[in-house]
Amino acid sequence: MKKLVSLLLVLTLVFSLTACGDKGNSDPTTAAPNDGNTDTTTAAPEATTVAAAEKPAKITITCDGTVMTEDNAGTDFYKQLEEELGIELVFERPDHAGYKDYCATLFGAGSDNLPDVVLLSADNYATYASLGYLWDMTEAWENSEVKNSGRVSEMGLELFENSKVVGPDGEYHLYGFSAVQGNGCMTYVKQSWLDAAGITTLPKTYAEYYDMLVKMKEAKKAEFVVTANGLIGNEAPYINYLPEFYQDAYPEFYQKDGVWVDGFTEDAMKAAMQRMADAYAAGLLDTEIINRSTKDCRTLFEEDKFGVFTYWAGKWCGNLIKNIQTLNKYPGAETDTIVAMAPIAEVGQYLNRIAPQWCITTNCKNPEGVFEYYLQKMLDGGRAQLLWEYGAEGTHWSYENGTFELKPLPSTGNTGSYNHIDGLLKLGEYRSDFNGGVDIGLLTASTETMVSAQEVFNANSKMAPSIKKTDAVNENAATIWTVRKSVIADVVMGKMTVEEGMAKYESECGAAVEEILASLN
Amino acid sequence: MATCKVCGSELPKKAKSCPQCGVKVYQPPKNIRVLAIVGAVLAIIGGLLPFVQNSDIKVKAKDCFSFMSYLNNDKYEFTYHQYLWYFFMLALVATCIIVAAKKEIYSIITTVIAVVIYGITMKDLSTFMADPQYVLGVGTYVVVIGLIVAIAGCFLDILKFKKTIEYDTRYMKNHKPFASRVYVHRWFYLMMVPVLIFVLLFNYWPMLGIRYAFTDYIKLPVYAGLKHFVKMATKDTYFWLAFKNTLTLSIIKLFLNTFMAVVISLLLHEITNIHFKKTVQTIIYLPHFLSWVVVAAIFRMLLSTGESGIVNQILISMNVIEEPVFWMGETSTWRPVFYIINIWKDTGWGTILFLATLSGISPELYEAAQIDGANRWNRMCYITLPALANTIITVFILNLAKVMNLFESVFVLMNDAVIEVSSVIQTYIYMQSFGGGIPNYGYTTAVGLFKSLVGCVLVLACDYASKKVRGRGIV
Repeated sequence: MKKLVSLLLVLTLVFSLTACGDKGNSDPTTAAPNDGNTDTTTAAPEATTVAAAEKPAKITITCDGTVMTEDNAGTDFYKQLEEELGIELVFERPDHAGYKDYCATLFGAGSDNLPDVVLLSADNYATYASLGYLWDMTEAWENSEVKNSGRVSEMGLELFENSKVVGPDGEYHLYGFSAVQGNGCMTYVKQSWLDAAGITTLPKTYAEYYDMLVKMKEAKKAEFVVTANGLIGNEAPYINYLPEFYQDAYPEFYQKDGVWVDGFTEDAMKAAMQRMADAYAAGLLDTEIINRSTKDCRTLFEEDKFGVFTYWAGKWCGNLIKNIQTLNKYPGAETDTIVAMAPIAEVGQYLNRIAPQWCITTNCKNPEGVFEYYLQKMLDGGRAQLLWEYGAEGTHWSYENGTFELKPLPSTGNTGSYNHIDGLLKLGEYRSDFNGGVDIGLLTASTETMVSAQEVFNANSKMAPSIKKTDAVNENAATIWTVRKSVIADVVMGKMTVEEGMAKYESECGAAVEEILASLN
Repeated sequence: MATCKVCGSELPKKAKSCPQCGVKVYQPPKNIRVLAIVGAVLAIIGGLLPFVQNSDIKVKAKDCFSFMSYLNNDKYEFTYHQYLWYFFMLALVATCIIVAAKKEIYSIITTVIAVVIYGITMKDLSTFMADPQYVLGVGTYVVVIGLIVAIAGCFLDILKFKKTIEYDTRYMKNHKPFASRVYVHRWFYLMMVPVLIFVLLFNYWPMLGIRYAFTDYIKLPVYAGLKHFVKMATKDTYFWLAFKNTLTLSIIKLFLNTFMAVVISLLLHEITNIHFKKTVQTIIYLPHFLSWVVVAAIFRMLLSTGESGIVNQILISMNVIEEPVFWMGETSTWRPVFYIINIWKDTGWGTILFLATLSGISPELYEAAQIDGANRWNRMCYITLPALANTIITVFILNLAKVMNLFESVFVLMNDAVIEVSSVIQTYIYMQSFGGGIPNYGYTTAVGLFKSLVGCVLVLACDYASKKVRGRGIV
């Protein structure tokens, strides 16, 4: 018996250790990204033209939940994309909510463990580019078929130009590729709240906006009128959930007239905090705003707990209306709607964030090939772009007899709308030889409301300030942001005055801010 | 606890002969082995510190060299030093193990190997000493002192105090040779192998990572000497805030949870209806199995300032407060709420040990006390609590050793408005790693190392306290 138990324990150990090892790569949908690039070619890394690139046999990719998830039959999408591209694709899909932390761990483990391609938020994109983890695709982009096809809009070309960030050499280069504009948040007002307050014209100035909030609170006897996912966002552009209060303030390091400044210490920021403090004291801002997640906010909005909500433009406008009407959580919800508000005069323009970027890491052995045969195919104006936009044919959508139909998503049973590329935000049109150059699913996936909300946003938005990361920024960012958030919360909740808050910031972060500004300038 | 080598029975402290068989007990002089081990540990610590450093105080913490200066350092060309570091550490750990196994004479060999490795490294680093800008670093002194102490400890142990007493081997329990004993129990040893490998692989191998506390680890680890510890001690106010909060929150929570667990155990013990008692026990155990994320969501709802906030609604209706209170967002109320939530979640589970002890108290004691006229209060004071005292102290001491491990419960309940009263060491490490910019794993490892050292000190203190209270240690 002892022998048997001993052997069993030893076997358990062996199997456990085996399980701790390499995941292997037999399953392209679950294999680890650190298999390395099994490039079948000998293309030299210094090759400069896209034409010289060879097609890679396999690409390892890490991305978040903005690509069709595996519980929504994402594997079908992978399979069809593989067939279309003729490349084996190995996707690593960490949990969407913890994706930022996952990337920090991934890059912290060293460049040898990086996948060939990784999807990064604007903040992380700038950070890892500055550290030399990402491949400079400036030249590849300039010579690419997509750029020179004429299918990328002027705004798209401008966005690519704005996506350039500082590399390890201190110069601006393009390290990422995005098939969509970053999009941003715009303010929606519930029609029922406008009616209750007797307001027929949307506010055009902050005074009118504030007046609208006061009238709404009185008319609806509401606990609050505005809430958001915290008083300040966790990633650039930070202020997009409360634009009317922040207005021209930008509480991060940004370039002003060619010089980098700390926006948090500017008068605009002081005024912004005072506005929020006043609104908080008047019961217009949610008392518990610092505890709210975006999902909390959407739920409260659907339950009619507040009436003015700043959220993502375009598709989300339609989704919010749909949820309000179908969930029907308050009397009159089925006929209620929301109105997209143009930015008030003090805001001027909403902020269009830098989109999450698809980046090729320095661990990739054939970056030119990956750019040509994988990245730029997202905007090929053909079937690959269609797959990226709507998912797998037959699983997520079908197109028969000129009719495009979206299928229910396996995880929820609800009809899907789009895959990674939002049709309203895409930067490249379809080729004229592919379905006549028409986006066959756009009118099905998007409602008129969504289109008009996106149009309002596009007409009234500007690019968010660019991001530059240095060693000093990377070293001090965590502490500085902790203090900033703490000061904003304390000032808004009335625990300290703006001056006291600024004094606290100066005393706790002054030295670090000086060090950062010296490194940026 | 020492045992008699002849009959195997436990020996009381400072006993000169075995109370069971009467054999004289020889207790060798203490502290000598400790001296050798302390020396080796000192040398291990010294191996992480700078051997040579810049004399300019402004760059002293950054411009320094040691075993680990092999990456991204233009001035340092000795890449093989990283391997020397491993051998140096291995030799010193071997010294500790050999000394602990009472084979001191062999430990001299490993200690000398460490000396040789250190000598090679210092010979290489002597090129820096030619530059007047550089001076010997703190690591040099620590290593030299450590190695001297280690070797001296070994020699003292071997030469001066090595005494044995004669036993009649016929009465000795383990008189067979070591190899023979191993062969006899080979299957037990085989059964131990998986656990041993697991412990070595997952508990001890990762400990090599503490060297990163002495590096700037953003892209690749670059040796930075004591830079992070200097930053922690002098610049980073949030670190000390987190440290203070960790101790405050943990210790108060520990007192409250233990107190409440004892009170509830006593109340449960008084319940005579077995079905009711089991039902209550089940109900109070349940919160322990809830995830902290769920618990946070439940209490956010209960304590909300809105309609769902039952607590505020009740207090307003009772005229205790006039306006809803944002319990989770006020620095004055966050900690009490934290303690209450912890009590609600963990007290039930904490009663298990106390109830087990209570069920072991002989009913005859209660019957005798009743006959003597003791009422319920007297019975609790003079029978129940004394019987429970040892368990209370044991539970308290065991939990005291874990006070630095506070993360999940705080992380899910904290927010920007209460950072000053809620930030603890583990949330601070998380914030530094993922809170913005790119994590410097060197700094977060340094903070983690500091936390571990404090935890280690607490464990040793608890062990000492346990020896005093219970007569035996916990480690």
